[in-house]
Parts: sequence; C-alpha cells; structure tokens
Amino acid sequence: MIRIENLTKNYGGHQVLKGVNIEVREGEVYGFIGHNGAGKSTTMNILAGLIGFEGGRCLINGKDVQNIINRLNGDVGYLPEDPKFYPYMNAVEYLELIGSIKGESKKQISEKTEKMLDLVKLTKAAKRAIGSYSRGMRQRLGIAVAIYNDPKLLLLDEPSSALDPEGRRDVVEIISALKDQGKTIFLSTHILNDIERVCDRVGILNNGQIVLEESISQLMKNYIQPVYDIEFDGTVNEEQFKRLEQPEYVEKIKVEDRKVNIWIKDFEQNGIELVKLVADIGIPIISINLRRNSLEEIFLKVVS
Amino acid sequence: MNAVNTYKAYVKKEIIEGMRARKFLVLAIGVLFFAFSDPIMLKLLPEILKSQMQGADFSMLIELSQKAALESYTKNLFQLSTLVIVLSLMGIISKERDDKTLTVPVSMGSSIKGVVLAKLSVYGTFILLINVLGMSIAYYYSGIIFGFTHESFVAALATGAVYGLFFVFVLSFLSFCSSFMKKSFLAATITLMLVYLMPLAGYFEAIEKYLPVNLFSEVNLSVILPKSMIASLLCTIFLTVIFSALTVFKLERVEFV
Repeated sequence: MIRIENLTKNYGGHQVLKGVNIEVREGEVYGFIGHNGAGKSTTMNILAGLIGFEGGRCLINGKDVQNIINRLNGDVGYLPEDPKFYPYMNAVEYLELIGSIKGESKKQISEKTEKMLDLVKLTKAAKRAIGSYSRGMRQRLGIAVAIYNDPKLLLLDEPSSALDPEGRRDVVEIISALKDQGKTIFLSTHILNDIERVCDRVGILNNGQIVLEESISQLMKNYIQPVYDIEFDGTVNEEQFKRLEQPEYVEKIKVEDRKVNIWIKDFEQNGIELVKLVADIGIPIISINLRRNSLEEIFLKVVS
Repeated sequence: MNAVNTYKAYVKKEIIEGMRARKFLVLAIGVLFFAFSDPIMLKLLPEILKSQMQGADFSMLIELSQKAALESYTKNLFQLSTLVIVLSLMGIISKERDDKTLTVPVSMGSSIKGVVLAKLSVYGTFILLINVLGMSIAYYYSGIIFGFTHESFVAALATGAVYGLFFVFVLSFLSFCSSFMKKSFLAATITLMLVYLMPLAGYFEAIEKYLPVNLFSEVNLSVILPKSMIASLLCTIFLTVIFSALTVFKLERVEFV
C-alpha cells in the first residue's frame, strides 16, 4: 500500500530525512513514532503530496509520488496535525465543499455529509461556524474530511494530540472502527498508549531514519523483561523459596514482605514450570504478573 | 474535470466568504460611496469654500456640471477605491497560505487552477458589476443635480465596465504577488506601489498607450469605446490573463503546509 525507499528531505542545510524506508501493508494500522521534530509530519506531508523531497521514492497504491506538481487526486485521506478550515463555514458547508471538489451529486453529498457527521459525533454542531469549534471538534471534522471520499489509505498526523482524555478516546474509537472496515492507516503520534491500542506494526523514526520496525506483539515479546512479580496472601520469607533457586533457569529471587520477584531465563519456555513450582509452595497467591515494558519504555530504549 | 469541479466548489465558497466576511459590503461601499458623494460634494463645494474664505465667490472658478462630477468620481475611483479594493482583497491568496486553509482541500485533490480562477471570477465579476453600477449612479445622480448634458448613459456604463476591468487587472496582480508571499500586507503594498507609480511610466510616450492606467485618461463619456483606448484595453486584458496564469503556475509549485 505504501512503500517508502531511501527518502531524503532537506530544509535549508539541515537534512531531516536521511534515507527513510517504510513499508505499510494493505489493511494494517502502522504506528509512526518519533520525537518532536524527528520528521514524522514531513514524511506525512510528502505522502499527502503537499511537499516535495530530494531523494528516494514513495509509492502509494503503486503510484509514484514524484513531486508536488503530481499531487494525489484525493484518493488518500489526510488529516494534518492541526487541521485548518474556513472559520465562517459550518461543518455541513465544509463537507459539501469537499464533496463538490470530487464532483459528486447534491444527493450523494447530502447523504455522505450526514453519515460522516454522525460517525465523528458532530451532528449537533453541524450548523455552527467552525470558528467556534474546540480543537477536539476540529480534529473530528478533520477525520470526517479525511474519510469523506472513502479512501483505502488514511494518513493521520497526530490525530489525538492536544485533545482531552474524552476527545482522545473518541478519536481512538474512530480509528478502531476504520481499522475494522479494512482501511490501511498510517498513524503518526507521540501518544504511545494510542499506538498500543490500535496499531498492528510500529516504526520508530530517529535521527531521520527508521531505527526499528516491528509488529506490536513481537516488539512486546522482544522487549519483555523476564521477571515474574508475585503477590501472596500473607507475609513470606526467603526460606520458603529456597527450592526455587535450584532450577538453572532461575536467575534471581527477591523476597519482600508479601511480594516476590523472580528473574528467569527464557520466559516462554520456562514460565509455565515456574508457575507450577510457585503453586506447589502452598501459599495462596493474590496475583502473578509477567513484567512488561510499556511501548514508551521501549521507545526510550531504542532512541537512546 | 477536477479543475471544473474545484472551480464550481470554490465559486460557492468565495460567495459565502464574500458575504460572511463582509468583503462584498466593503467593496461596494468603497466604490459606490463616491458615486453618491462626489456629485453632492461638487455642488456644495462653492458654498463650503465661501464660508471658509470670508464670502469669496468660487463658483466661477469651479466647473459645476455633470461632466465635472463624473471626472471627480473617476479621480476618486483611481485614488481611493483602488486602496479599498486592494486592502479588502489583499488576503485573497496569501491569507489562505498563511492560515494553511488550503492544506486540506489540496490534499483532497483540489485543483489550484480551479481555486485561483474561482477567486478571480467571483471578485472580478463583483468589482465589474459595482463599477458599472457606480458609474450609472454617478451619471444619474450628477444629472439630477447639474442637469443632463451631452454625456451618453450607455457610454457611462461602458466606462464603468472599463474601470471595472482595470480593477480586475489590479486583482490579478495582487493574486500574483500573493502567490509569492504569505504576508498579505506586503502583497498589498507592492500592488499599490505598482498602481500609483504606473502613471509615471506614462511620461514615456512609447509605452503610454499600452498602460492599464491609461484607461482612466482615455475615457470619453460621449463615446462608448474611444479608439484611443483600444490598445490599453487589450493590454490590460492581456496582462490580467498573464498574471492569472502566472499565479496558477507559481501556486502549483507551492508547498501548502
């Protein structure tokens, strides 16, 4: 769906993108992560045909995005980081403008506008001037515009940044709904919690290059810490865990009041056996968790 | 096809903007105010001067006629209406670039050609119409005050259209400047400098008859389209087309972010 090969982009003497390579497959949600100023929006703008680039190749649906003169013909939905609309228009008028640009009939426009406004929960505010909208409402209108032409590919640049928790939840729900419809979504954000919730794969952009590209599940596996945190129903002591030190895969045991932390080698292979051994001790267990790195921790590890 | 769709969509958008942002109102006032005020001011001028100059009678020194009133209107159109038109439309393209309001439509496949032509069509047509209307008001109003002399009403209407054409040329140059800079005021300043300094180029006889500003001096209210005006009229239309095309050419290469 999207293939970016050795993409380079300079601003003045500063090279923002230094040979970016990305492949986004059809129907997947790809999370594009990077520090502020890493070049995420630049990459998005290039894909949307809004800015040019110096080197490399960008293919969208097999079509070469060569430069801004060959702009895409509305077959890609794009939501900029801070979408700007005509403030004196209302949402209905704006969506009608977008529909008219595509050359649709009045009936089609009217039906689609109603459907889009309903999807992004803007029906009640549909006749209000956009100038009076909150940032969250503008973001939702931006999503409605991006999906208006029912594109197969959506480029969403920081769709949930600067939104309150409710607005963020709404946006993530909309993205999930679009994912269920089979849309391919290229999502840039620095809110990593959102990435964990909706993305299939993730790419980390650092110093103008992709430094890590992996599926979310594999990434979590790769960066998982092989530590079991166990909480017992009552105080425990080190003596009770002496027999757990015998297996060679147990590296370290830390006992503290009611909690025990056990470091092991290769949790996938040895995890089940360890849990059995812990159960055999005969002390009621309240909880047992395999410690996980959050995507945020993984991101910080990778970029540092 | 895309350019046609974009053109139609943006014509509607510009009409909405013109009404809600009061641009049409400002433009109408900027042109029509003088159509109403000039004849009456000319009529009252001797009286005003008389009260200021201790009873001296200036009525013999000032020509009080329909022709003089229309000439006064023409002068004000060039000097003041230009200012109003340029300042009220200075953001026609640069504001869209500065506010990034074209980013979403362009990413949705809007044609730049359609956008630019829609803007020029809507405001160009409106300017043409209010100039024709302004001239007809000035003609009738001054005729009522001073009496209808030898001027022809049809010629007055044609003159209004010619003035309108001059302002469409100004609009195309303003758009051209806007395509290079995001700051509206800078584009307006350059446009105003061009318009107000253009009469100086008239000192060179070889080019005088080709200058758009020559339309104002060649106007003859008794003749519908004087022959002496043809060269500057054609040149004005040619330059309008050239500046419009250059605006499209430049904007198609602009990064709308």
